[in-house]
Amino acid sequence: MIARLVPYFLVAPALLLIAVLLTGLSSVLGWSFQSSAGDGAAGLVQYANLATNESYRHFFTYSLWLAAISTFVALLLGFPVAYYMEINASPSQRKWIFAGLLAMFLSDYVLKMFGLILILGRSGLVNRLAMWLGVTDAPFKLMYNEFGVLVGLVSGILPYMILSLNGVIARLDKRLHEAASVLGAPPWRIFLLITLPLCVPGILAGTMLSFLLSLNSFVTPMLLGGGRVDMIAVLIFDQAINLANLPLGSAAAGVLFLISGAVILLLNGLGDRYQKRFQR
Amino acid sequence: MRTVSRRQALRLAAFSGALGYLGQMGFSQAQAQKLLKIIAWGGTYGDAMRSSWMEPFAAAAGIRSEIQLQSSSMETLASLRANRNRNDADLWLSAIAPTSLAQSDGLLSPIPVDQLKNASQLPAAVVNDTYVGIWSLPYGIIYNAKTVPFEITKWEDLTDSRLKGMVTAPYGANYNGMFIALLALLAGGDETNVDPGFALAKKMKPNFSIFTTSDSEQIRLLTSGEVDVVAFAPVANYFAARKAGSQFRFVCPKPFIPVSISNVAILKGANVEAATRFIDFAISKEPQQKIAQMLGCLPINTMSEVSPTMREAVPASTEFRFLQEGVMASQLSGWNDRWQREIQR
Repeated sequence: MIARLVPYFLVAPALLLIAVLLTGLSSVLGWSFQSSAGDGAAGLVQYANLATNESYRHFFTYSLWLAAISTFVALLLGFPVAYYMEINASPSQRKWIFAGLLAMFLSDYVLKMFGLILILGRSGLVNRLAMWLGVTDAPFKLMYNEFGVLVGLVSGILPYMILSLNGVIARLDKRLHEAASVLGAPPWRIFLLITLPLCVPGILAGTMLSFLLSLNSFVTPMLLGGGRVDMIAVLIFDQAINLANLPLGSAAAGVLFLISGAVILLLNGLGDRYQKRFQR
Repeated sequence: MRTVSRRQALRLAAFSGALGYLGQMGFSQAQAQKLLKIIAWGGTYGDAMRSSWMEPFAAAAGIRSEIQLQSSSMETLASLRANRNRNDADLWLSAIAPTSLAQSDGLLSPIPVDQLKNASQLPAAVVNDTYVGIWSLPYGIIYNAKTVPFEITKWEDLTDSRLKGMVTAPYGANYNGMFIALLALLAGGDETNVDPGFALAKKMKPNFSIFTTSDSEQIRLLTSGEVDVVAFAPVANYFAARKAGSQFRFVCPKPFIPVSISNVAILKGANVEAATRFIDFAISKEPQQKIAQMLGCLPINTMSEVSPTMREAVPASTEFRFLQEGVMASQLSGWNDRWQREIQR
């Protein structure tokens, strides 16, 4: 009897936690149907406000754009590292790269962003070096703008992208490369026609994770955006906390939730289609 | 020897338990009567409140108090709105704009002003049944005298092209929109017509490099050399920056400087009697003097002395302007959107 109940006892705490989180989320969504003063139901007024106000729409389109660019850059930068780590690196090199990735995971996100300010800020390492070398008379504007936020986003998602790709590359059948090579295929062709297609599931998983992390990012635009880079989480904070407009902030959170869900469904659908095609 | 049946034993146990529970409840309620919960800022504000107000008040009146932290008064307003009728705090330290919005939302209890013995020592404008002023903060410009190529003396200097990319300004309607209202007044508008203010802000726009959301961010950016000028800062930020170097200057620019009033309000469902006694103590001469010195602000009690450091930063001849923060409160959201759209982007 007790043995039969053990699994339920084990899953109960996690289920309870999920239930509490969902209750909180549904409460937030409930607020999005209130009037701005929070004194009564207002239907879809907040959502209509988000859809018709150009200023609010900008937060969404710009966030999607930044998330797409940062994910693409992370893919471009992460793929060679993941590939090298699994295919070319010696066991000790692999350990060092893995230790570096682990350090990026374990360090506090806010501290990482402050670290970037120390390197890329007006009086940071890069500018001091550039001015000392005579490359420029005035410091480069590398922070508190779109570029600074992109650097922050990419540095935040890069470890996730590398580890997602790494898992797939590690499972590649190296005999396929050898066979292609024996048949006279040049390395670039082997990469394009064998390696890359086999890595698609990892690319999709890394893209999904990185895109969602970037899209939901709050700390990076707050610390590195200088108030010039409008991302959705900043809009939510601004409305719900700075302006005490919980209904509009909740509606923005609801739309972000829907967008995130749509991205997950889209990329999952692409993954499924690809696998079916590959299995045929 | 008398025996007790099982039923009698159970009754006895239930009775003892109920008695204990009621006793405990009574004790807790008596304790609660003697404990004031104050929603206020932490850090230096919390420390100053504890030593200037809360500890001396507990010693004098036998009523203890504790702080429930807020990061901003607008955040508390959001929380009070979301948890309507579930609030357990008594007092709320805030600014006039959030207090006005809370009042119109029915979240406050009226303050029995006639029971405040020290109220007559305060300017009449800051005492009413919605809020009582607790200190005032003058706002000016802070700049780095080593890197700024000229002496800043007036607000219009912020349009000077020599300051290109050197200035930080408030984010959106930060500081409850006071900077936007100030620009409007300087350009011939007022709190109900901010169009001239936005026109003036557009002239300053090339000089703005970063928009800040908090006092600590302003101080960090200035002292780390990321910016050279803070366009709009409470004088307390200047005192904090001075700890990092003597190159920082505070200017009370011509023709006038705005002053914000921080205030205290009694929340719905509060222990009004104890809360009123606390307010009366906080606005009295000595506690006012002490907290103003600790925070780098002006005491609201006209009998309290202003510290020499404050007098040096804000000369007695400075012309103050009290903005209509209550009028501004309902327009903050619109100003915030417009500022982000026209100035920040």
